[in-house]
Amino acid sequence: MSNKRAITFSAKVYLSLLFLYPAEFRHEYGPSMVQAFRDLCREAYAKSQWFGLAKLWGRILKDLVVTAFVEHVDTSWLIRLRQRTVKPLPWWTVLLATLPGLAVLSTKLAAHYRFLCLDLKLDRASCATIQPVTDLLGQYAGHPQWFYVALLCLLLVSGGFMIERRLAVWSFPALGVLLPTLPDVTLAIHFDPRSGPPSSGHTFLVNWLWPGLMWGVIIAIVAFRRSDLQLPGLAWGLLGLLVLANPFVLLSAGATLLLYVAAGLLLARRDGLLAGLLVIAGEFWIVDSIFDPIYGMLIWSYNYTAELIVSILPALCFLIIAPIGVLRARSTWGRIQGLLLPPLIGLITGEIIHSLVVRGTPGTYSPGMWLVRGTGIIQYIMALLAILYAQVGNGKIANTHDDKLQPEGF
Amino acid sequence: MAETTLDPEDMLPLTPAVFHILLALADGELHGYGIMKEVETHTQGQVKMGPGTLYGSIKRMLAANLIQEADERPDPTLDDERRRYYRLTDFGGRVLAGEAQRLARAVQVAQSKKLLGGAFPSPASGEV
Repeated sequence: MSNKRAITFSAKVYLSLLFLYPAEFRHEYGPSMVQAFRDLCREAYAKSQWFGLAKLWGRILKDLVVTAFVEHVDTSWLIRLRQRTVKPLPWWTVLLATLPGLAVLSTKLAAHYRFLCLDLKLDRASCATIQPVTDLLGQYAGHPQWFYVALLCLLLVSGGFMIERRLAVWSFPALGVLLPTLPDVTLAIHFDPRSGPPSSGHTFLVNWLWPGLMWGVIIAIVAFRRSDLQLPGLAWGLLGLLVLANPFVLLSAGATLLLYVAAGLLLARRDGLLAGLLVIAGEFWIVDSIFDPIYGMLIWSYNYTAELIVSILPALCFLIIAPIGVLRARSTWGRIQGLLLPPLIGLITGEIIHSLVVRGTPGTYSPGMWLVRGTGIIQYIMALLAILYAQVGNGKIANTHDDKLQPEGF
Repeated sequence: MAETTLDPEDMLPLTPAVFHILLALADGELHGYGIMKEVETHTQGQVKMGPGTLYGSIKRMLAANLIQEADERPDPTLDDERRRYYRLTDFGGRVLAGEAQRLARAVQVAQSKKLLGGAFPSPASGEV
């Protein structure tokens, strides 16, 4: 093989090895790298012929493997997210965003205290003292306690809309909490909330009328806004999976979830990752229904400390810590952590306490129960992922009005 | 952009590859292979850069506004027009000076501890 052919062959091999680098880097610097390598080959061959070329290859292969790895890490979307700074929202907006969580927390604490009174038959005088508190915040059994929380959320959402002439970012958690309570609020208008929801009307409204309305909204959004949505393919795929997963959970839960996804994806186009707060608030409902003593059957455990922890955990993690983390974050990565970590910690902690406390009561965790709670949680995680992906999918990070306030990280 | 707002001290210390590339460009514009040769020359062959290290560093240095791509070739008739030339920015020059001073201070400390030409042997060669 002649001098020229040996160099050309080496350059061709090097060119083919450039596939190890990220495509973006390869397209930008690939030709220059091959040219520099060809020059190095010419020099090495002129100095020591084949031995020189072999020695050069030994050095170049090490350089290629190490730097290809470095470039993959450097161009990964995670690194870009870390570098992208955003402006934290003011503390007064954080306070407003956490108000629904604080209200739910108060309700839970009052309900827990009332439950202790009923179950432990505490001093009646003491129970009588707290009775007005629980009446104010709502009753423990059934749904009507949410009436007051829903009212607060309605005030926050409408107030935010009047002040900012659009859905205020700080009202997203309130909106998320409000949506599933609407059927109950509707019921409360027609029936006495203190007597609990009537079964037949409740079943029809919650299982058929409300889901039907939600499906109508989804279909309308998809039909009329398809051209404007321009979502990444995977986001639509996740949405499709959510629809398919519906038969495994209550129809109403699935339908409400779809409303979250649709509203969240639309809001994500304007407010970026902050729209995830809506889904987080929605996620609160399903986790709360799992951990709540009535649904979660911790009532049978008689472990009141565990019962208290798991009953306040969802509100604390999903409606208070997560909004604070998201709204006060200083980078896009911080916002993602704020959206994902508190709910994850809440879920894991709750499940651990649950499994430890109810372990001694066989039958409470039937396969069907696992299927329902597992599917429900997965659905909400997927909803969140759909919104995250709509923002950061394909390595692209959408600019939102908040993100534009700060330059990219240096 | 970054030139007006960033303090050169914020960029220090530089990685060896970035320092040697800046040093190579201190005399004027160079293309990739030219930078490699210049680094090899001014380190007496101790530092030999591969294309991956060179262009990975160049990518980050362009983003950090330490260097910029030259629009015009020094002499198009004498060179391949596909070659891309790079030159130091003002900010890059200040960063280079800052790093050189930092290293000089380190050398002074080494001298005061009699490490240069003293009891410890210096390494024969190295690669970036």
